[in-house]
Amino acid sequence: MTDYVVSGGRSSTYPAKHYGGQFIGNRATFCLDQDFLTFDANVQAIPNLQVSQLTSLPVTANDKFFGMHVKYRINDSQSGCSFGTVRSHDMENGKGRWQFIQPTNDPNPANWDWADLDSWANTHYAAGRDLVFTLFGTPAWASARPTERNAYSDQDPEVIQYNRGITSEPLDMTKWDAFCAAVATRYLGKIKYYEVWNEPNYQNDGTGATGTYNFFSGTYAKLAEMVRRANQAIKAIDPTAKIICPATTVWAATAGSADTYFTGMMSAPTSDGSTTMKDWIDIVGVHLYLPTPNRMQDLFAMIDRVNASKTAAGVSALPTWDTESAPINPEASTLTDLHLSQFIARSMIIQAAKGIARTFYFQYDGPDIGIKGRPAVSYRERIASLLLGGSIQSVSSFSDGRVGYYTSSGLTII
Amino acid sequence: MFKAGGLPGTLPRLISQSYAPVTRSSDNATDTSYVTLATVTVPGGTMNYNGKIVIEQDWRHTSSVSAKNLRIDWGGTWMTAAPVSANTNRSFLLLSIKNANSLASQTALNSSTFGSGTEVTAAIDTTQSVAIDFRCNWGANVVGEQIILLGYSVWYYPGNT
Repeated sequence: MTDYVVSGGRSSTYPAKHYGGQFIGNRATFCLDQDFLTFDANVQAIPNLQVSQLTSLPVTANDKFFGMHVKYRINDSQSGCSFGTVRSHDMENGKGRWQFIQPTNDPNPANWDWADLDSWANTHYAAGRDLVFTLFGTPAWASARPTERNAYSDQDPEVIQYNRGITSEPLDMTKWDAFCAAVATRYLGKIKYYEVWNEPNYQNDGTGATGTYNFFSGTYAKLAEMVRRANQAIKAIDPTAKIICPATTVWAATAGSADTYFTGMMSAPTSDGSTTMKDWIDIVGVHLYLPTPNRMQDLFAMIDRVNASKTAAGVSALPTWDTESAPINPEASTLTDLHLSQFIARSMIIQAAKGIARTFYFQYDGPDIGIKGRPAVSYRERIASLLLGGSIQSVSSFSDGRVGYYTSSGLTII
Repeated sequence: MFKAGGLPGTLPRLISQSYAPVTRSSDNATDTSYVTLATVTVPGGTMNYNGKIVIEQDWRHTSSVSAKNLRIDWGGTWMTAAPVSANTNRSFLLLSIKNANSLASQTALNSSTFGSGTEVTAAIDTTQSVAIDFRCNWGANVVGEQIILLGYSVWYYPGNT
C-alpha cells in the first residue's frame, strides 16, 4: 500500500503528506495515514522515522481503568469527572495516614480518628468505585526513627518541627499489624485494594534515606517485612483483598535507579526465613511521572522498563497499576487548557495501549496539579469514551510526544 | 490586486514545506544514479516578473569519504549539484531562482556557484506549473550509507512588476 516503484530515478508517486520515507534500490516507501492501522515491515524499516507503533491491536479499557485521587471531601461527590477507581493517598490534612488515624498508642480502634476516611470510603463505595487505600505514615509514637525529616516534615531552617519520623518503619512491627487489621476490619467489603507505602525509592537507595525529602527511610528488608505483614493481617480478615506493592517512582526510558530499586525490593527477605517481597503482592504499583519537561515521548519506553524489571523480579504475570501520574514538571496549573488536555489524553491512550491495567490521575482537585474546572475534564471524558467503546484500533507515539490513534474514521493525532 | 502573471501583494508566500525525513539508503548497486526524494510543484502563474523562488534544504548523510551529491532540478533543468565534503554529516542548501524581467527566463544563485564565473540559467515557462525535484546520488556504489533529506521550505518572493 505504501510501496512504490522507482523508475528512472523517480517514485511512481510522491504523496502530498507523509511521516517519513525511504528510497532503496527500485523501491520507495512512505509512511502514510493508513499505515497507522498496521506498520508493515517496510514502514517499520524506514530510517529516521519519527513515530513508533505501540500496538496494532484494538485498545480497550473498562471503567476501572480510570483512576483518580480526590483531595477534598467536599469534592468526593462531584459528578463531572468519571472514574471507576479511587486512591486515598494525600487526602486533605493527611487524614488517610496512619499518623493521624491513630495519633496515640491507644490500641482500641474505636477511639481512632476515622472521620475523613469514613466519609471518603462511604461516598466512593456508594458511587460503585473500587477503593485503593495506601497504608502509609508511621505515627511518631510508633516510628523507629521519630526525629527524622522527610517529604512531609519541616526542613532546614524551619524552627517548628512537624511530621517528623513518619516515613520510617515502625519500631514494633506488631503495631503495623494492628493498624493494617483495623483498617481491613473497618472497611471490610468496601476497600478491596491495599497499597503498602508510597514511593519508597524517592531519595532512598534500599539501604536507607539519601535525602530529607524521602517517603521511606528504611531498608529493603524492612519494607519487605511490612508488605508481608500487611498481606497476612489484611487477608486474615478479607481473603479476597489484593495487595499492591510499594509504588516506585522516577522511572525513565532507559535503565536507572527505579529498575534497581524495584528488583532490589522484590527480592528482599521478609524476615520469615523463606520468602521475599514478591511472594506477598498481587499487583505491581508504579508511578509514571514523566521526565522533565513532561516528556510524553518517554512514556512507552518507561513502561517497557517496568515490564523488563517485572520479568527480572519474577512478577511478570502480575498486573501493573500506575497509582499516580500527572504533569508535574511543569505542573498542570501552568499548562494551557490545550496542553493539559493533550497530556491527559496521550497518557491514558499510551498506558492502555501498553497494557497498564489502571491509571490514577493525581489529583482531581489538587491546588497545582488539579483538573477540576478545566476543559481537560471534558476532554478526558471523550478519550475515556473512545477507550471504553473499544474503537481505537491502533496506537502510535511520535518522537515529539504526540500520539496517533486509528479508528474507523481514520487517523487522529493529538 | 494582481500583478502581471503573479500572485497579489508583495509579501513572501510559502509554496511548500515538509520536515518529515526521507532517507535514501545505499544498496551498493544503483547508488550512482540520481533519485528524486521529493518533488514540489510551483503552480503555473505563481511567479511574476522579477519574482523569485527561494529553496532551503536540510540534509544529513553518512560522514565518510564516499562522494555524495545533492541536486535540485527546476522544471527538469539541473540547477545545482552540491558535492558533500568528505567526512561531513550535515548540509544546508539555499537556492534562489529569479524570473529576470521575464516570465520564462531565470537566473539563479546557489551556494556552489556564488562568486564563481559559472552562470546558472534556465528557460522555464513559469506561466505553466514547474516541478522542483530534490535529488541525490553517490559518486560510486557504497554499502550501508544514507543520504537523508531532513526537510525543505520553498518560498515565493513576488517581484515589483
